[in-house]
Amino acid sequence: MKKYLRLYSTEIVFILISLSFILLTSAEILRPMNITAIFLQNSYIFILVVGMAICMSVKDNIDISIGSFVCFICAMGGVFMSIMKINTLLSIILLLILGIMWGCLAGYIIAYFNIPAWVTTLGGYLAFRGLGVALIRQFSNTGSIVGINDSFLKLFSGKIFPSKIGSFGYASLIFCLVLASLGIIYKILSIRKEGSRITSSMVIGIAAAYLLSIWIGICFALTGGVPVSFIWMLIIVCTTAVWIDKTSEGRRLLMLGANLENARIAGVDTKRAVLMTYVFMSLCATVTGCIVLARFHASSSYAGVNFEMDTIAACAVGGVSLHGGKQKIFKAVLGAAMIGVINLGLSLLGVDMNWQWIIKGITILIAVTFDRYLKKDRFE
Amino acid sequence: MIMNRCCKLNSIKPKIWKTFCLAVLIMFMFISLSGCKTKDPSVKTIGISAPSNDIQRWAVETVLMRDKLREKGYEVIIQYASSDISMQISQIENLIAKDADVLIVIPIESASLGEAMDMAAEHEIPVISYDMLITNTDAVSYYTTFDNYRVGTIQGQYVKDKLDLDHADRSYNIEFTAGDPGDNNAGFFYNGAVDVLKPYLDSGVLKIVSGQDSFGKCATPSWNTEKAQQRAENILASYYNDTAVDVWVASNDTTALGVSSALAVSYKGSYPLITGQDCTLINVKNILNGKQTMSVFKDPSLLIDATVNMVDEIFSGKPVTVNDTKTYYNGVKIVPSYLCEPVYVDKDNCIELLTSSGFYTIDQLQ
Repeated sequence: MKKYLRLYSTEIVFILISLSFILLTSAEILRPMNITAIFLQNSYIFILVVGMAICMSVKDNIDISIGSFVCFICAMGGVFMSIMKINTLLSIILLLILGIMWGCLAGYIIAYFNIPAWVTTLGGYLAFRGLGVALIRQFSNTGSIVGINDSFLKLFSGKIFPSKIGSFGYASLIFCLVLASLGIIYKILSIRKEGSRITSSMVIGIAAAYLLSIWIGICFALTGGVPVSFIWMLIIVCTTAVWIDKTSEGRRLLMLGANLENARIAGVDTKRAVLMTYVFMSLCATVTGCIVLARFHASSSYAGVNFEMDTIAACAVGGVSLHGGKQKIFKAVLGAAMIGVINLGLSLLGVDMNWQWIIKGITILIAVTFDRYLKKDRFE
Repeated sequence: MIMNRCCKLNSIKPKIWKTFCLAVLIMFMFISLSGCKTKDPSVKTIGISAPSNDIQRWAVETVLMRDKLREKGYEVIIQYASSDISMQISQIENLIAKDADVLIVIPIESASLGEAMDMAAEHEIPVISYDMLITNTDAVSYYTTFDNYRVGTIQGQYVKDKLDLDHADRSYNIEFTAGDPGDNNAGFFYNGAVDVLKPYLDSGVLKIVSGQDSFGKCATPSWNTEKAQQRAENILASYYNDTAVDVWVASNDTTALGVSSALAVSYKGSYPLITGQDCTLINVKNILNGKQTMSVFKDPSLLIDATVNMVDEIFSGKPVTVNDTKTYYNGVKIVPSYLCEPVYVDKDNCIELLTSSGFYTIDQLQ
């Protein structure tokens, strides 16, 4: 039995976790508002997990500074927009530049000085939390900077195609269907291009994808619109998936795989590639910072707490290999969804916080062990 | 291609797997959209969101509040956010998703509940801000707290009455220790006390020997006991080598503790009148030992009763009782507030007042 299931181990774990929370909450977790909540409340994991999967695609690389960096970006966003009165567009550009700068610095130290990734990013983890809190204390005596531009809030939080609660927002549903159709057309075109035929199993897959988007679309339509953070998540997940799957640059990055030395001998500029993964990771963290800033409507010193842990947990349950090599963005996103379901399920059950940590820890351990158990003989 | 062949040999065929996934998806979707559970509209649900149950005050008060609301037939859900704002925002959203009819929120950080408050407004759910004012949003409907300005005036009035300042035959030396400059309420406490004592400061009956006569000069960052003690020691060393200090108005108990510790270390004269606030256990013991004179008692059961009452009134459709509609501006609007009345506690009434309200047991005070 086991050997038949191993290809789909992550999916099986996901279905099992979902099922157990559906039973525990007597299906409450499936209510449309809660389906929306999985995306709304965990958008940060979905975005960060993509960056982390790319980062981890090179052996021994990891970035634990992201939570603190999110806090720093929130603080800087507040300083730019509320204190220095810089307009929204310029603020976003400045924040992205900060992201690129940190990515370059961290990547440079790691790649060119051969400092272990976790030590370098541990430095960032400590420094950015301190820097973020110090900035907020400097410019405000209440622990948060308020007065973020409205246009910034609209760009990173709230809903598009807003509809009144209790009515059905057809626009949201149509929007989701259009997106799904575009995705499927893209998929079919790329299959055609490779010269393969469309098999019946592909048709079933397409049907499932369509059904999923109808479901999510209806949930959004019933709960007041499509969350903006969901759009950001889609943009980042999809562009990254296309980038690493279809472009030579992306494929080269993954080709480095588990053995940097081989890649280097084969003539790849491995150091530059490592640096690029950190720039990408930091950009993901910057977008997350913007989303968190807009979600709080203020820059707060509490932003980004434990984000790196949730992200690494999502990578672990999503089967992202810690030893580098080919990563499947889809599986990493599934891992993020798993952490999202666990977070929401425990919150709905009203479990005491300390027990939530315990249960979360145990669930992750079981999920990872089960996943590896199913896959085991592939490595033997 | 090799991978594909392996799949065919050693694993479920993708087709079967995908069909299985499709079936699971259809099942989930069906349950999700069939509206599995409809809520009984006659039972009202109250959602309480608190910062953390590690903080004793919130742990005790939320449970008391829950019990009182349950007695009245409401269903109550409490969520503690473990001092994590993202978590609190998500929890408030989840309370709304669980069809809460009224939200009682104690924010971890006043200004940062952005999207959760937007969602409450979208669903037209009244939000009661409990003890800490939620700022930076128009979604907060009511605010219940203690009258913070009154805390200050009670301290001032106590000083005035005890020293009988209207008939004073000599002048008294007074010092102030105020609270955290980052805390919105600290200014109310300080100003309340100063406003009562102002005429006597002007007429010279009360004299601030150190000359530190503004909130900024008297402030104690984070209400920190050690910082209050340091400042008090500096003042004592510089100004009170040969004169006596008669009154020390400290805004709360942690700063009062700093002041009394400083006096114990570097002051030879008789203990001045020291004010405080909150009735922290160690300070109540100091009051009984004569190391502090008074503290202001903010009985949590009053605040809880006021909040429960407010919930009742919201559902009955009656106008909600508020007694302040101009003081508490949250950056967007003035929040209608119900301010509870604090009382003072000193050596004479301390044991009776604190034990009868159940705030402390008699054993704790011994």
